[in-house]
Amino acid sequence: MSISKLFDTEELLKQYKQGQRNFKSIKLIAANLRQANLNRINLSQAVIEQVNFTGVKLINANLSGANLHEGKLEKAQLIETNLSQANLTRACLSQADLSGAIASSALLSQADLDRATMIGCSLVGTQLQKATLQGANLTGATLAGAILTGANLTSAILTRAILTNANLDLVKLKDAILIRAYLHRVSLRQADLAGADLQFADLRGADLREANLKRANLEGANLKDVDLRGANLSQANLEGAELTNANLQEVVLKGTNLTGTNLLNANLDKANLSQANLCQAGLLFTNLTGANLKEADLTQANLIGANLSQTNLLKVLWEQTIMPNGRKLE
Amino acid sequence: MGTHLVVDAWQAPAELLNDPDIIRRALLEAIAAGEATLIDICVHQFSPHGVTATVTLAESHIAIHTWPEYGYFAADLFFCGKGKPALAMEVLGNALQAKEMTMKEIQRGFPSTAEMQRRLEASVSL
Repeated sequence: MSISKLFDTEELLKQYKQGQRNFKSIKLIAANLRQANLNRINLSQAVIEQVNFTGVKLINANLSGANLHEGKLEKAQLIETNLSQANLTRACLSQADLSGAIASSALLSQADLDRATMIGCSLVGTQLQKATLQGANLTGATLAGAILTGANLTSAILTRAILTNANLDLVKLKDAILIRAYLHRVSLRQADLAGADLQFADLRGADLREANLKRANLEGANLKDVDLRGANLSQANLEGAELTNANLQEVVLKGTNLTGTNLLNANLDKANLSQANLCQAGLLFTNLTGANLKEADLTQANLIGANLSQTNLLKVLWEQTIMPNGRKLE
Repeated sequence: MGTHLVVDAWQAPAELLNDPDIIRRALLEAIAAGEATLIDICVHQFSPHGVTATVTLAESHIAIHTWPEYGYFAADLFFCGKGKPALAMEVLGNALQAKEMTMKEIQRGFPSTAEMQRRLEASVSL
């Protein structure tokens, strides 16, 4: 196919019906391809402007490096399609099916991906700044190194998704499902994770400064070495979570369930732990300087080596608690 | 180009080698210890027993195949650029409690001996 040849809808569909699949580097402007069947088509490096692709079938197609800037791809079938390095900035892909698609290093900033199916989609290094992915299904998707700053992922499903080193600053993940997600070294500064389900998620080394984690479920999550300074975890569930070396300075843990959590060497300086449930929690060598533990439950907690200077311990429930000096209370 | 470790390990408990979740966790610990960057992980349980797992890393890959009936597993770790593959393998071996392990280290991406000989001869003939 000649480079940069200008096509119209009729010519493209005619040649496709005749068996032509290679439309590499073509120009397609102001075409209407609504509901068209273009499975396995090669549109790599193509320039596709003002084209209506609503409901189009592009299964296993090659759109790598294509320019689909502001493209209309609502409800498009892009299953196992190659979208690597494609420009989909501000494109509409709501309710599209991108299962198994490869969109590595694609530009999807400000794209509309609401309720899109993106199961197992490869989004390594993809730019998704300010994109909207509300209710999108990203189960098992790989987003390592992706940039999602300011994106809206409210109620999205990210179960078992891999987000190593991804930038999720200011992201809205309210009520999102992130069960067993791999969030190693992610940046989630000022992210809204209220009500999110992060059970058994791996958040080691994550930056969660000033994040909103109210009512979030972090049962069994690995939060070793995380930075949670100024975060709000009130009413959250952290039962059995791993918080060794975590920085929890000035964190709000009011009414939080910390049953059986491991807080070894954690920094809880000036943290608000009032009414928190710390039953059987491991608080060895924790820094609780100036922390508020008013009405907290420390039944069977272990405080060996903990620093309790200037800590508010009013109405704390002590039962079989091991104190900083190793003495066990009755 | 990079370091490739080829590992044979024996005398590991069958229950560990036949548990895909334990192998997944062991691999994640190994990745962290090896300072590698996880891109993707695929764990498959065979019938009646045995697990194969492949890990795609920004640095290359880790693969493991287990034979619980023999207490044996084979692993290979290819790290190009940064990372600590030997440390990753140590963590993996410990997690799967292998009592005996042999490890071959191959430096990848360098010309073969025959190619080096050919280049040497070509330079001499000039």
